[in-house]
Amino acid sequence: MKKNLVLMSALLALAMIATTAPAAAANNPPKLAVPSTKVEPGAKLDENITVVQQLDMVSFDPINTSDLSNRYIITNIYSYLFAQDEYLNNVPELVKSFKRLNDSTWQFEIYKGVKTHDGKDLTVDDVVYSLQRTQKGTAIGALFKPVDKISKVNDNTIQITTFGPYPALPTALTHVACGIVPKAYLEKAEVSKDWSNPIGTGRYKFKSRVIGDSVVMERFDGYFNQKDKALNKSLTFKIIPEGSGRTIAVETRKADINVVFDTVDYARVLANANLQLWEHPSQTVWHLGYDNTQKGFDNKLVRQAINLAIDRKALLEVGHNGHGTVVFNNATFAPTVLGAVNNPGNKYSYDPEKAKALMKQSGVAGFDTEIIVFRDEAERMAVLVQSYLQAIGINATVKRIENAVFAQTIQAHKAPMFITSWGCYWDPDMFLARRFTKAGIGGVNRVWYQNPVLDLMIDKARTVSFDNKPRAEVYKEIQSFMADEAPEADLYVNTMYALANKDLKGIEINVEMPHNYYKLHY
Amino acid sequence: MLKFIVKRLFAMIPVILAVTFVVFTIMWFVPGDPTNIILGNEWTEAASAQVKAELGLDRSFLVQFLHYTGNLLQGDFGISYITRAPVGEQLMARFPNTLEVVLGAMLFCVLVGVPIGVYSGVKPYSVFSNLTMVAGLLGISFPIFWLGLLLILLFSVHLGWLPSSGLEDGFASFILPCLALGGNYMANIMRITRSSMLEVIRQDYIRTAKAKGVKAIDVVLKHALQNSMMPTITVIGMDIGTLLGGVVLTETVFSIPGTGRLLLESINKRDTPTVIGCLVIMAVCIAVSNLIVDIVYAYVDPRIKAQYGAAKD
Repeated sequence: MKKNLVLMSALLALAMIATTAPAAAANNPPKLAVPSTKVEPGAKLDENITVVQQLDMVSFDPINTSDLSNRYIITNIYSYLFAQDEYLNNVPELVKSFKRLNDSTWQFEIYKGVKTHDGKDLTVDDVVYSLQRTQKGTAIGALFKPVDKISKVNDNTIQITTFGPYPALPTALTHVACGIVPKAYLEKAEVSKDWSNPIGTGRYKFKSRVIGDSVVMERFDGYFNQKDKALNKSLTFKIIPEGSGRTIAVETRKADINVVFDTVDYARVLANANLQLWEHPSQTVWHLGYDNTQKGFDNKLVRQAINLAIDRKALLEVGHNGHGTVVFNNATFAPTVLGAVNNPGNKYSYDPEKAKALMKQSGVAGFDTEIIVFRDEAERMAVLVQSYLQAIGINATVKRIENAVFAQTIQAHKAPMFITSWGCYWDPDMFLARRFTKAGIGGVNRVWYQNPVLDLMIDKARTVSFDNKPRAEVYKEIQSFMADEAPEADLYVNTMYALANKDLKGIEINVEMPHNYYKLHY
Repeated sequence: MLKFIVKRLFAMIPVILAVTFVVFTIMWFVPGDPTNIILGNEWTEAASAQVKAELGLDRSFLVQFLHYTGNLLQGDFGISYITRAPVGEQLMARFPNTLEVVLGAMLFCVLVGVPIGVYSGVKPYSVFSNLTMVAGLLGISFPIFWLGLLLILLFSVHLGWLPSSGLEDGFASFILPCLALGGNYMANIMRITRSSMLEVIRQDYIRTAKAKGVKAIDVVLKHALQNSMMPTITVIGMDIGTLLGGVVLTETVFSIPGTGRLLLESINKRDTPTVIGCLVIMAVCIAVSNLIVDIVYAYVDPRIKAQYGAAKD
């Protein structure tokens, strides 16, 4: 027995020595991913770049899904009428020029001589057919709801009419579902359901795919805009579901960049001089939601009390190890969104005493409730929220469910409270109505909030002007209104990270869209 | 024997149908709507109804089940709700990877576990035997995902000898996944072989063989080993099913595009046709491995072979 114990101890000691990392010293702090499109002399532009991401793509059919992992991959194959640059400006891609004939009619001139990957010319008919298919599909959903008709004007121009003023149309046209696919390919694929060899007009041609493992694409030398073609020879997307596995792939140089970095490896990568961690504020707003139709939460003072009772900084610490920015606007406006105000009127801070006073003023006696979560970060936060709520007389239990069940739980009014995140768009018109009006009930209006005053304000923001400045002013008013209404408690926006080999250049972390991988080079 | 094999192969058809029915029913009743996953933030009642109609999810349980089963019996696994691509294509792409990992792990278990078990059985109180029993205990105790991560840290990150993920490095890619998956079961096989050998080695006929002056190695290999193998073969057969369960974790940790990972992802996305496809393939694997075990019994134990012969008569 004694001999066995000695042997076991020796084995354990060996295992620990072999697998323990050297003491981490943060000598290589993360850099803010401010993209530099300038290519330096001597840059290597013919490299094969490998990108690792967590989940596999779903389909090359652009209207199949708006899933982010799918988007990261397929946007390299297709071209769009508009793309977004590193600062989220809508920049024309296939569009040579465009004009608004009136508040609801837009005309877009398409570049001539755009080649498809099978060597044919892209026509206006292709563009119209492709966008009409997008309109009929479900992936783009609400973003194309204001669109009435898409038609051909002549061999160079298409026309899009909307049901009313829709300033966000160019932004909507950057959506993954608006990828242009040649009509001949679409007609064939619609019958055969075979999307295994996609054809587009984008910067990369599809080469091969091993389902669940990798997608390989190579530079399309016939890309119509030679001044903005890919700066690398090929892109390989490698799927690694496990967070540390993705980090290790970059560490061992099996990959050049990991775009879904798991902060569990944060300290370790900072100590590695061969790696560079890039960061950027995301537009993912973590929030504590509550069903505004349920007793207790239908009282504005109770909702305000909850907002004052929670310490957002502490929640950021347990949720994302402190990597992010706390927000208080309660309308899911990330700081980078048009017209965003972080804490309108400085209405909220962590103030348990004021929260208790508001609860008293509300006349609502303490009550029991449930916090629904389906992610690890949310579960950690829920435990903390539980204690904050207890201090103001709300007794909450935490219930973890599966992701696939979350939407149904909301739809059945079985989520009195929940913690989740919302990836907002730069243009609030693309999410406000869905999040806080009747249009989103059963969908992403998970807090069941409706208010005719807000409906009018959202409409005003859409119709006030096509210029963003007056629109931003209306959005500021909306945030002040929502801060007071407190239909949910926005908590924080987490930081996005990408881990890359230190010599890799052209890294762009785009908060809303795929990260323009075509700029990656050494 | 041939008649026995054919009979067993035909018996797989009701097994497959039963698996299909059970899984289909579970997936039908389990909460969660695939259209929520497909549409994500774009979910609306109208969009959900459109997707359901496109996928045939608006039909009754019985119609859907009979339609699916009819196609399955013709070798058509249906269309994935999520990718809208044929499930058969995904299985064809992924199943060989799973099979390679499982067979590799099994080979590792047998090639390492059996000899060590035999030696420990023959020399039960030696230092080597104690050492292997401690290692065996550790092997059984280590969860696969944890052992996998430790192996990656040691052999990929610190030593740089072996790849950490994927299969593009050929044979080298399989070493760590097979070690992680097989480590647990190897310990099991080693312990079963040891205890079985310990029992056989004390039998009278072994003592007789020794008394007759048969060489020690021949006593072990020719007389003891064959007679001690039955429990080990049974465990190997049973472990195929357990290995197929463990491969879900192994494929996730080592990023191997196999059916285990596909199964996990499909369950999370409520992609019923893909879930059934994966489980049918796994059920067939288990049925075939049990058949192989039965055949091997006949070759190892002449009494069983004689029974097959008698059944034929």
